[in-house]
Amino acid sequence: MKQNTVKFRILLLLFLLLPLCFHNVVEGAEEIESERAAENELAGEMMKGVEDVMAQHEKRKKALKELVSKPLTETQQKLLHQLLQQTGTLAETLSSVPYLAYLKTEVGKEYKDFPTYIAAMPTPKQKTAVLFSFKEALPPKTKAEALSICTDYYFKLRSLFVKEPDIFSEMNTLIAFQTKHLMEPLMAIYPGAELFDHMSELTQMAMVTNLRGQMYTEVFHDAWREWLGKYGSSEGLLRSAIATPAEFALVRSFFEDTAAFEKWIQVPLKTEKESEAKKEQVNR
Amino acid sequence: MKSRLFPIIIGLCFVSLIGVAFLRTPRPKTETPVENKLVQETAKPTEMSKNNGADSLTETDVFSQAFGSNVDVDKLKEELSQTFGSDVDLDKLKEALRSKDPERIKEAMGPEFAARMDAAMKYLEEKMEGLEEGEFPDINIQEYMNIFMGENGPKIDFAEISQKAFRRHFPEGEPEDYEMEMAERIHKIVAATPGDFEQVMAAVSMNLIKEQDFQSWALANFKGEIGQQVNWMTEQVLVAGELENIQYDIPEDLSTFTQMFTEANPQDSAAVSTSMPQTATDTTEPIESQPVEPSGSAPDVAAGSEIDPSTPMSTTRINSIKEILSQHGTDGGLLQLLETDTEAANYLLERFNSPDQIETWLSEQSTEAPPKPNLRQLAPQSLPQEIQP
Repeated sequence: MKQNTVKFRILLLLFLLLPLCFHNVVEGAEEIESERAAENELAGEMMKGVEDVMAQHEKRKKALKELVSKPLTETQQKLLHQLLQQTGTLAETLSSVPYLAYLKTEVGKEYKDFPTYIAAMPTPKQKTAVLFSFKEALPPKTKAEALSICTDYYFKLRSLFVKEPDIFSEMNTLIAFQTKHLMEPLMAIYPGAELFDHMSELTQMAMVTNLRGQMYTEVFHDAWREWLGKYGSSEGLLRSAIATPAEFALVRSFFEDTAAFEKWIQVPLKTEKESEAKKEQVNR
Repeated sequence: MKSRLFPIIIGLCFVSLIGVAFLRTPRPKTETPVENKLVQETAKPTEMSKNNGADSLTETDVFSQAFGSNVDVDKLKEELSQTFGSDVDLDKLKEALRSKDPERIKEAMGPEFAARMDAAMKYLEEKMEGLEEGEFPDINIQEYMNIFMGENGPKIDFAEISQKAFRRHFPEGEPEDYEMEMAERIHKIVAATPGDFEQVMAAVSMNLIKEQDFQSWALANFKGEIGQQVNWMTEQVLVAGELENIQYDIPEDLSTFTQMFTEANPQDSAAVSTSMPQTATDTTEPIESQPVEPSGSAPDVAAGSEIDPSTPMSTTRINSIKEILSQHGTDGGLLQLLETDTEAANYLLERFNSPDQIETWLSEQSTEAPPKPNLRQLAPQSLPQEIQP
């Protein structure tokens, strides 16, 4: 037994020595590039982070699409029927008792009317929901302050995306926006000397927030546009407000009035246009 | 990607070599017993062996120890396959390392590699044969590499490699010109590290692993003569101890030394020892407060959290957090804490994965601390509740 332990120790030593050998085999026995190794390590870590984020993103997108495409429940159908009987503007209809009661059950808070709900956007509940979703998606060592910055940035990005639909194809604008609203605040909380150690995390933060912002905007826009096309403007908007109340109010809050919001829904986003063009090509 | 592993392994390799070296390190004859009772109490290799010995190796992830806690097994497999041929069976190797059975390890690495290992092992065994207690095997890295790589394998000029590595960090002068500087580094670590000889030596080695210039210097200065290097380091520790008025007692049985390294995360002990600078006279401190924690708490280290997940919080603080959350609502309260009390916000975020969980904790109406931090669940993500349609 003792002999075996000694042998094991020797083997362990041998095993630990291997990389020294294979590094030199691979690198042509030229040099021990500690700096390059560190860079490669960082690049490897970052690449892994990117892969993880992308895999997670795809899963989440699929799940979100499935959720959004679910048909209205019986209760929701009943509410829709009630709301369709109402006259007045969309804001007035959504300020009716049945909708506000429904809203209370959905978002856990009572609002006196729909414009008040819009004015509260994003609500603390939405913010913490996004905060925890980022906590889940980002590395465990991410500071609470960083998660808070990511959350703020996310909502700013959502707002920007509806105003400048091409933001994700105009990289310079996006980078400038991201630098100002995400990177600069993040750099303020990470000491300069630590920044290098947090590169992978920072990359993931930028990716997660941008992807999440784009995904939510696109998925909901796509669903709402479909409903408006299928059921007409009035019913389509009501369905959207019933099926996705929080998102509906959030995006509505980015616009001056319902007309502008409705117009935005009806115009396909760039990605949707591209997707439709591809479909047409395939059909031909 | 191959380079990714290199810094980790070269560090482990370095300390491992030193660890083996210490198994045979001569015990200074002029040594007098250390008078400090606490230091004496800590120098119980047999006890350390229970906690940190080879047995615990079977309970932990061998690869995580060797390649870091975030090792990507698939990539590691690919790298090993590329380097040693497709014979390497990583799953088998993992099991084999756990079993400590040399034959199984060789089998897992494949026949070609097994032959190389046999030759290298033979070399090491020959070097260790017939040594008196306290003698260190005369291992030379160049010789070892020549044997390990085989006659037909690529030729590695260790002298050239080490000289280049040295020159990268020291554009001028020769290795011997920097000996005093390097010795001074050891002295500083010794002065800042309370504990017995094993603990101090572990702290010295762990700290120096991170210092690439030291490693480059050592390789060039000792030209791959591990025995010489170990003797020099031991000497410096003893000299530093004398300067600090401490006489270290080197235990006869240093068999736990290697295990301390192979089972402790380098960052762990290094980080602690530098973050708690104490003079050597502080050895009267209870052992619990000493910087070197050979047992290493792998899961905590693996988490790599800047925020100490085990940070205790007083009942008063917890109650104050609860009060804010109750006053402003869970969501509003958390957002407020994020702005005004990030420590409290971090405390909550470490422990809960949703506002609902916080609400449940609040509704318990107790003054008990929240659950232990959960280090980020890897379960599939759920969609934020309110955003869910």
